[in-house]
Amino acid sequence: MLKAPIPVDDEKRVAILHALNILDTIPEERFDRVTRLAQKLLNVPIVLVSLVDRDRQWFKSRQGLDAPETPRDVSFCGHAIMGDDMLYVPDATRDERFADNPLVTGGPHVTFYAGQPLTHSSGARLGTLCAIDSKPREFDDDQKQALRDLAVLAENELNIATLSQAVLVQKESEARVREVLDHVNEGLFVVYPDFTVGPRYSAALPQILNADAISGLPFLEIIGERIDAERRRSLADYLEMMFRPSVQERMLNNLNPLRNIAYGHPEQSRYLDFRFSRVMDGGGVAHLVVVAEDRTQQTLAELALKEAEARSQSLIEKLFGLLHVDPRLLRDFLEGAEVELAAIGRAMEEAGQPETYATRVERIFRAVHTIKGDAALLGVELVVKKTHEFEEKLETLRARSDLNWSDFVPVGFEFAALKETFVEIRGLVERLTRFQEAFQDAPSGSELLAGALARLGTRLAERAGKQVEIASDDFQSRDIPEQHRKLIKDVLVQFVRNSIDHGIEAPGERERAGKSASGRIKIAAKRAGDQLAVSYRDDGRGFAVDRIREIARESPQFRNEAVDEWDVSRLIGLVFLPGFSTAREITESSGRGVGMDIVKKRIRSAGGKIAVRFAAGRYAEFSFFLPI
Amino acid sequence: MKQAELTTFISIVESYFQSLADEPAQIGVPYLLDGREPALEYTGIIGVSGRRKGVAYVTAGRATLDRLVRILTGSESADALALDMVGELANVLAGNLGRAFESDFDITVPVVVKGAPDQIVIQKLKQPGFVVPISWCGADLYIVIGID
Repeated sequence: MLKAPIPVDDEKRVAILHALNILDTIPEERFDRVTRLAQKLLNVPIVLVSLVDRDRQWFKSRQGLDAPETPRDVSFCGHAIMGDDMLYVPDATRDERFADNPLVTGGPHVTFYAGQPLTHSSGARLGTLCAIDSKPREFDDDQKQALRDLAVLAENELNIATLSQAVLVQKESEARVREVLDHVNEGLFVVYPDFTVGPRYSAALPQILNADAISGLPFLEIIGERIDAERRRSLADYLEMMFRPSVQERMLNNLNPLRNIAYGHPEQSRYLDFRFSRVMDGGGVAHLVVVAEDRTQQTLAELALKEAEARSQSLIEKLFGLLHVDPRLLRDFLEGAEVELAAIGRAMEEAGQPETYATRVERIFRAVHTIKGDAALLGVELVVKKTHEFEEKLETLRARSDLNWSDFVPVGFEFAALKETFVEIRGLVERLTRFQEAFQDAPSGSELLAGALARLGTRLAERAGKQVEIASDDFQSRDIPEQHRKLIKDVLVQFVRNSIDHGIEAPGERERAGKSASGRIKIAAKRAGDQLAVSYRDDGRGFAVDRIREIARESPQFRNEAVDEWDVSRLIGLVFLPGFSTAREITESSGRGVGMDIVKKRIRSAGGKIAVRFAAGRYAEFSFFLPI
Repeated sequence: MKQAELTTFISIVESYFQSLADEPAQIGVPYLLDGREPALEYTGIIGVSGRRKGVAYVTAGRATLDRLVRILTGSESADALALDMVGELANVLAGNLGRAFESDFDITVPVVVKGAPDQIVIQKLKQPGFVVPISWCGADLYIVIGID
């Protein structure tokens, strides 16, 4: 495309044009008369009185065209004012000066152009009277002469220096508009029915849209990839409806797809808000006035506030999750968890050769399981949930024999998340402790433990659709030495879990067996010489010996053993083996085959021993003895 | 730091060592940093800034670095070469971080030190940070990475 050339004396020419005070004034009948006449006489769709300003051509009068101006460098009239006579282009699509001009390739698709320069009395060619068609065509000599004659009429009007008062008022208000556009912080612009952006817009707009070229370009193209494809489609639909006067503007407000949207590259995006309003002309929508506002600061502040609110909300929820627990028990819990977390850390750090990985996973699993048990006892649901998820991940690893380093990456991330949870809880517990200790009389340690066991029992029973009552009258704190407190707690927790999952029957089954609907658990502790005897008994179905035998028979571990000949005590001993479980499905409380093996191991390592008694269909009883 | 990023990063490091001497590096279990950051005789550190923040470093003993120098240059190692070598390893880390991690960020020029990295560097390790133990040609080295 050949850009419109700039005459050598252009500065002077522009100065003369400006001195006429005619640019950006309202339409005047004296010019419109000429263009209307030309349109009719020459039978063309578009006729313009175009004045060539420094960077634009502005139309003092226009027939058949909506745009009030276009850039000078793509203008035909910019070429026409270079000569004295008419610029005559019968088919711009075949004229190499214009073939790829955007006014030819896009709207208004100028194809035929005949422009007669308008010469000022000083000799300066200020613009043209031009006739345009979107089809190729020819003017005969008469038509060319008619255009020249009409141009003389327009010239005469141009040379009349005095403008009407109305025009002067308009001029002044235009200047004010310009001033506003130069100084507002918002992007103000208009969109025409062909979705192109008008030539006048506020100075802030290019920066807000992050676009250099705006004037005359389609709005969708300017925004381009800065919004996603789906929103672009919605925008096209929305604009189309905005230009349809039959659709109420109020109804469209909620459909505006550009309300407070992320704009630009996802990681550098700003938040922009666009508001569109119609400007009516007769019965139709002449154009849309658009206000674009950069709301990045406000939006980021709002998002940060929301995030902070969500954080404190979640903190409050976590706090409520801990409120029901005595702070001393919580402290015990945290101390215990600390030990287990350290064990997980060590198991990973000392993992060594791949052959040992399975053992490491097992160690991590046990530690996580212990934390879960303690958390369930106290009802710290947050930790129960986290550890349960952690266990699920480990469970998939336990089943494998080809572990490598990459299997431990998710374990590491789970571990990090669990540690983070404990950091939070520790902070909350510290606050809680200070608060509760200031206001409450402290109950004794055993009451706390019995109360916690009762809560655990009730909660687990509810989940299993069962009922349970725990009697702890014979379980007194004076009998329980400090050094065994945690061990006894851990062991009893495991027993309660087992009772509810395996021993105690559902209410219907119990009633059919002539028992109370609610299962009974009795715990007792007694000092006898240099020993503490703790007993735990539930009135459930006892051990399912047949089921244990069945599982043992299927276990590869006992493939070469005569399982069918084992006596009851040997079978019962199996429940203390790692990985052995009779639970048919894994629940939060049991079924993963760790628990009873930990019980036995810990009692033994404390120098104690454990005994089991049961009667099928009536009860199961664990007694353990610890040195004091 | 995402799980996939760490896994990809370690895999790339693994193949780097493999490509050096046809002897696979044994990657150990990556474990969480817990205030006892490993530090051997030489350490090469890179910092990450921009969209992501944090630090990564590689720390190795003289024997490992001497071996690397011999493989890469054919020359016998000296103290200066060991420092250069740990810097080169840090450069490899920098390149691999760019490949393994999503989104753009800036990586500083490696800083090499004899011994453990300064406490200021340690404090810039973002949580959760991981230690990746690597055993290669009979010698140990560690990569420590804490990038948010």
